[in-house]
Amino acid sequence: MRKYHSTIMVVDDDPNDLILIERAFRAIGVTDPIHTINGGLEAIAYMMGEGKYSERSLYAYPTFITTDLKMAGADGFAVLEHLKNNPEWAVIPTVVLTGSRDQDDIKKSYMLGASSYHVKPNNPTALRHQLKVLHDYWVTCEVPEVDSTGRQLRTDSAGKLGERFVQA
Amino acid sequence: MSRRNAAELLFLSQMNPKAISITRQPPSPAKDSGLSTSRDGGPERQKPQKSLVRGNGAMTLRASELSYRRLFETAKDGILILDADTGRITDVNPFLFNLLGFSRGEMIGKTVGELSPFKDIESNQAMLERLQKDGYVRYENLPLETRDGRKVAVEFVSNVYHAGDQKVIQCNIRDITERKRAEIASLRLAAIVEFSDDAIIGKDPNGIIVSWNKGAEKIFGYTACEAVGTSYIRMVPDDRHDEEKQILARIACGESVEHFETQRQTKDGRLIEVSVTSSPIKDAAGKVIGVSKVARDISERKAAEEKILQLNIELEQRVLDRTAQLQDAMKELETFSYSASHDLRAPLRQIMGFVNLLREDTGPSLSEKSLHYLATISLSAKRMGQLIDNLLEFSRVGRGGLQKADIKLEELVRDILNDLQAETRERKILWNIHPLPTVWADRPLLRIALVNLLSNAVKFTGLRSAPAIEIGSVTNGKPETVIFIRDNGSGFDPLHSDKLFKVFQRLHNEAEFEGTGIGLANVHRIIQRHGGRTWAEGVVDGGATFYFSIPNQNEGCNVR
Repeated sequence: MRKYHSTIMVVDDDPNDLILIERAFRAIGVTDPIHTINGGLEAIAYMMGEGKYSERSLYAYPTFITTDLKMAGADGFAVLEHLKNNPEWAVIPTVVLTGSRDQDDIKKSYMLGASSYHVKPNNPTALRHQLKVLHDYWVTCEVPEVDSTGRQLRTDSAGKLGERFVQA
Repeated sequence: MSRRNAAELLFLSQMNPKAISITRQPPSPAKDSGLSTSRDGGPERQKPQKSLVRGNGAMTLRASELSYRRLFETAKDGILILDADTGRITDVNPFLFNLLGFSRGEMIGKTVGELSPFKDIESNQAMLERLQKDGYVRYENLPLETRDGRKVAVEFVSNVYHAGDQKVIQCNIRDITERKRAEIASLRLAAIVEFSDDAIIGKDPNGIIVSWNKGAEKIFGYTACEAVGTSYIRMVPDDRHDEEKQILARIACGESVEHFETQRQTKDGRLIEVSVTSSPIKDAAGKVIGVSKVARDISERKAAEEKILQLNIELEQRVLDRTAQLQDAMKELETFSYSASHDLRAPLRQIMGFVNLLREDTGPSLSEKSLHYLATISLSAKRMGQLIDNLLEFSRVGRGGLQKADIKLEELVRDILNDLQAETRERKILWNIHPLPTVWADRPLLRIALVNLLSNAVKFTGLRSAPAIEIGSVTNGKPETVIFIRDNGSGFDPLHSDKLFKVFQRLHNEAEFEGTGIGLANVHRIIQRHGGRTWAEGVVDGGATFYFSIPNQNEGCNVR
């Protein structure tokens, strides 16, 4: 089911990569709002609604996140961990997009709840192809419904299987 | 004739008191007068007087005399009979004159002093006087000299008897040479035992100490006085009493227990390391009548062994530490190369990304030349990316352990050719793959080596209209397998063949054949790690043959 309020968050500490990734999304025809966030600390501030990010009409909760791993301050693992610790955010598809092929990085990312792990392709065309596959895939996935700010809608789970999941 | 041979009388007096009482009755016969010698040196036998035999038949006395005479003749001690008044020899038995190397005739009638064998004896007269006075003379160890000059040690005992009214001296002479020799040997053994550094202990079958040498005193601290007569068990620590019982049980069965290493307790309570050999002492019938224990203090040896063990452990630890350090260093290097690759790749990726954006955004307004520049930037970045990838691979093939197994080479080659199809599909390459053996190698590494060699062959035959690539093996009599990959490609100048396998060395320019100059260096490194060699033959435009060898299982050594 197509989400009505989709927001993409791209986390990277390299402004050049932020530009290239955003352009790549646009090049494959993505029209959803894209927030390029410089570094893990900024990403966490965004999620916590600190400072300017308290204005949710401008900075809606993301429905799809890509994050780099090696970042100063808070790295990609910290971002994954932070998301995982909040039941609402834990369901947000979060893919790792990094230059590292290190096996430990890959393992740790999945253990911390990464939806998938991808090495940034060297070639710009390959990057576009990669992002298209990811975007097309994740927008077809069913996710909890959100309002215009990206906040999940309250559900009445009484008597259902999902009842066992008690929201915070 | 009532006269009796003095010797006969003597024997009778010694052996048969009744006979003596008889002989006292007749008047003293004339000395010596009746004594004659036969040709063989024996005295002429005289018939005893029948009147002397009271209550016995004459034949009985005669028989008795004969048997004593026989004793005299066959005795294994020397017997000398002298007339006590004159000191002259009246009789001598064969054992003595044979021992001294004389005949009976040469000795009879002489005084002892006149005969050379007795020259060391005190003067005849003096001996006689002592005999007269004490009736007895004894020399415990008297050296006699035989006719041929040998010294014979004898025990010499003289007694004076009255045989009837005749006063007779009987000398019993026992050859004690053997006894002396045995005594000396025994003393020597005793000295060896006494002064041995090892504790040599004798025990009775009940474990009571009966002998205790100086070594035992030194090792255990008890003097012989303190130890002898007490139980050996007090040298055995409490927790080893069972052990001692088992040893005693084996000894009782006649077995020895050799070099048993254990602990014993000294007088001052110290525990010492000893090696003990316990053996049964048996009597002639084989019955165990005692135990001999030889204990050696091996505390020093044990300490040395302990020290060696300690040093080994330390060495082991140092090896472990070094290995750990080395592994840390390698890990660090690995981390470095990964982060380097990450950090080096990022700018390249961005160069290519932005060139792409530039081309998209402003491409239509750019000149042909500018577009060419952009393409060049792009290509350079791409090549640098490949270089980084290859370098990373190069550092990777040099690390880690080899996981060797039997690799079916033919299968591996066909597998690789399948992967190379993308590059070869469009070309009509004549592949000639000979039957290939099984080699003992690390599969992933060997695969990298073969991929490099086969890609090279594909690449360098790119300009040929009828490219041909041959893969086969040769045997050279050595315990190794040699594989070759031959192509009819552009070849190389044999003058530079030594550069082929070095990293970044290229024999063709980039425009002709693209490459980073790392592929063959990788091949070399992989084969070298397997303990094999790489070499190549080629001529410019005449094709090339690359060889590598893989040692057979158990032949090669791993080169890191």
